[in-house]
Amino acid sequence: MKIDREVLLSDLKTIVTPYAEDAEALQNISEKTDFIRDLKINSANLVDVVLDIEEKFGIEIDNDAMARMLDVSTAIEIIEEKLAALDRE
Amino acid sequence: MVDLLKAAQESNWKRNGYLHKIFTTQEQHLIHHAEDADLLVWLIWSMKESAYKIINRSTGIRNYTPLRFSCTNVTLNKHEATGEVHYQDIHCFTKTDILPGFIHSVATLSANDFTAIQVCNQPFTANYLTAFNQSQSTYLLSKNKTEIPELTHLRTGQKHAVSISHHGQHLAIAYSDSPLSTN
Repeated sequence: MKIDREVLLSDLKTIVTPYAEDAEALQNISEKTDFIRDLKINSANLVDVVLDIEEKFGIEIDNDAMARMLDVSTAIEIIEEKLAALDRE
Repeated sequence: MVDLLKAAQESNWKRNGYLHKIFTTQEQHLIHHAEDADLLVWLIWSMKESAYKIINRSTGIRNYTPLRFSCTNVTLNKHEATGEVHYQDIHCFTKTDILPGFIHSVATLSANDFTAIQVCNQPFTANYLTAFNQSQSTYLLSKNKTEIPELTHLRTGQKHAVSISHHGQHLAIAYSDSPLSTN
């Protein structure tokens, strides 16, 4: 199942909305947006973002993937990778 | 820095999978056997964060690997906690102040360094730099172009190590009485 990046971006926006402290950055979210520097998501809530992504897409984000999950474009890449791996199974 | 009220409102550490993603088995054991599990969660979390700050400043590496920061020798008293954080071959020592409504951890690479460290707690406001500078007459606190804080001794002109952290309503400025070595 291949999901359009625009759709992924919109899904991610919904997921990060409860945790983002910078409303303007959230409004202007793009692939370049950094979860911590731009959206000012607290690092203790970054786990919630990871768990919400796992639940929404039915994927498992391992520790190595989580290590890189600091911005929108990396999150999209990881979701695409994990979904593609599910397809191959 | 962890604002305990904000953490209680915004982080549900009891949700499925949460603890497994950020705490080692030993840390989870400590949490589950603690009198005050909430306090232990945020104590260990702030220990990891303070150690991450050392690693991030010294290596420039930015990543999200809370499980690789392993906390040991956690000793919790009423107003203070101490412990160690291990990351690869780096060992940090931590000291945490436990205050009404918030906790604040400082990490160092040597247990002896704590004697030189001062911590100033302030409410988090937009003009906290000015507030700090007006509250004492020894140092000037400023931020450089890359938003890294700098502390300059007003009389000697020497730079001192400084680190600022904030969460919710609370802000802490941790700094060293000893000037940074110039090498």
